Amino acid sequence: MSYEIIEKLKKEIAGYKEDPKWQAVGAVVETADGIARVSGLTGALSQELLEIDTPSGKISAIAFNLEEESIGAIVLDEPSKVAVGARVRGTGVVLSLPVGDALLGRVISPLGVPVDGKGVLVGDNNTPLARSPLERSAPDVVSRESVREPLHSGIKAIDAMIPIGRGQRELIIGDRQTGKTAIALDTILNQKNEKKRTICIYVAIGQKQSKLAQIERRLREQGAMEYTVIISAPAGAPAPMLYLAPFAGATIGEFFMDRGEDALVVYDDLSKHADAYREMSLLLRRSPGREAYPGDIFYLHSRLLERSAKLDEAHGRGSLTALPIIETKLGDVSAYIPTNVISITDGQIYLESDLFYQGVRPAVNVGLSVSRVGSSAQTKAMKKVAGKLRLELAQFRELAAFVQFASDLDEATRSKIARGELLTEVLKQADGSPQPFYHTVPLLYAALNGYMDGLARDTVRDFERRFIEYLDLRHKEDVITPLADTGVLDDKTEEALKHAITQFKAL
Amino acid sequence: MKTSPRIYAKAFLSALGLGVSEELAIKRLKQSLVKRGEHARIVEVTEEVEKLMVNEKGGKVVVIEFARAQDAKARKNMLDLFDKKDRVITKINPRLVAGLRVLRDGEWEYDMSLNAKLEKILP
Repeated sequence: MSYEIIEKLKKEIAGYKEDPKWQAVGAVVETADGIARVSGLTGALSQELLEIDTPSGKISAIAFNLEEESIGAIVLDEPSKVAVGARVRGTGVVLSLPVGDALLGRVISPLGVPVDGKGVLVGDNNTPLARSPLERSAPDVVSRESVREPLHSGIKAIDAMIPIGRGQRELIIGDRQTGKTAIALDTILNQKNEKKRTICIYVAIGQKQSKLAQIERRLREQGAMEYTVIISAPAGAPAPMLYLAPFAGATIGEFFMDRGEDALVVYDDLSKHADAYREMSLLLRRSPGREAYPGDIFYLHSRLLERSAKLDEAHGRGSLTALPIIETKLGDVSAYIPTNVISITDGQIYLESDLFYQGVRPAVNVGLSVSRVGSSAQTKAMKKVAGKLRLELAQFRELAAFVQFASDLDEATRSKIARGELLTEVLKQADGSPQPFYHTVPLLYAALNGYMDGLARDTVRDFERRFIEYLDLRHKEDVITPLADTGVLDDKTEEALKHAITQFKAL
Repeated sequence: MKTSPRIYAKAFLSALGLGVSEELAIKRLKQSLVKRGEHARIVEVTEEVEKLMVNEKGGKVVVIEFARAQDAKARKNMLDLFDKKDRVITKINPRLVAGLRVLRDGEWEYDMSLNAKLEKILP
């Protein structure tokens, strides 16, 4: 082994050709808080990767502010290593990230460095992975097609009423501790049940290391890490790392999208991303605007989320779906960053603290949640069954205030309230147990067509479990398989389903 | 907002150009730096003044870093390569391991050190 290394070294030295030339350099004139001000390097490009000489080797920085007399650069390593007077060189390249199948199952930093202790990233035959730039223009209009394939989240309320399509950007918004991350994780877990594999990228921005370790363990235990990449920019990381993390996620997603595959990227969360960008911008002395965010905060998120797309046939038909997460304060969706991201995305799943504490989990507020493009991507069977679900729940919400006077109400109102309560109970779902759509469709069919009327609220869970077991055991051929294969509830399958429900109720 | 050393240097030279005496110009430059809390940058400003003065006469400020001390003859041979208008400064930098590195006007570098070669071979 050592002989091989020596031979390789000899080969490298023998092949070395001296080519010294004049190179533009600059010098650090000021450094603080992860920001270095560099004089010289007048030809530097915006976002160019710079190298700063330090006693312990070269460290990287990104040219961020190109000013008349100096460059404001963000340091990508331990900022305390940078000293005033240190020499700085341009590299002529922008920041890039290694991309490839080797990333699957790994936890990496926003710079593509593995942080899971499982060794370096190498491609096939131990070759280095190809690199892709972090910042890239979004696919143009011509190369896109409309969103029309469903991406099942495995969450009954979402798949039925707020469907997500491949290539869509669906915001998950809500206060702290309302189950935002849980929805994103369930969506990742549910991809295991899908026929068409979706590569998942979970971008943790400003999360606690302990929470990230839990997420990684949960995904690994449930076999989801096989198709998942985690990008870790924890709360203790410098602001530039938090800023870069979502762009790294988009870059990895684009790699799979360009190969014609489907990818899902979860940005958890963009509120912390905006805060990190605000911190950097203020340190770079950019003018503060509303809530001290810089003027280009909208552009920051729009250019990130515009990279999600469904490509047309000529470009391989790949897709990149985005699930950005935004944390609100006391349910205020009209704050600056939430309204920005709401206006950029193709819909939002709004989670409410009150519902969460009432035991409605996932705590989705059906009235305020919407999917602007997802309905054309919804599985036909689900569309057929859940069409009137939203209406029934809306009618229930209107009458909900009268629930306590139920005995004094007329029969029609009472039945509407009862149906609403039943549907609310049916849509409840435990954390970490995504349900395939071919189980959700028969269940909702039973609930919406009166087969579950009269069922006590505390028995709904048990009914659901037994009903799905029964369908899997006795009606796999005539109900489950046709639904799973075609995604359509045709007359024949519907008849078989009706028959199955009647038989089950008679048991 | 801190003022760049180049701005101070340009202001200083234009004052001299307007006929202000050297002592007065230096005194006012120092006062200006102290007033703005930037007195620690006097070295940078001085270097910039030197660079602009040399550039004005058609020369360049050249810093040559050697890995180790040179004998007088070798040093003279090296200095003879430059124009009389150039301001040549020599320094010793053991981190270069061997060879030398030239910096022109603080903005262009020509690195012929062994350290640079090793970094290229073993990045």
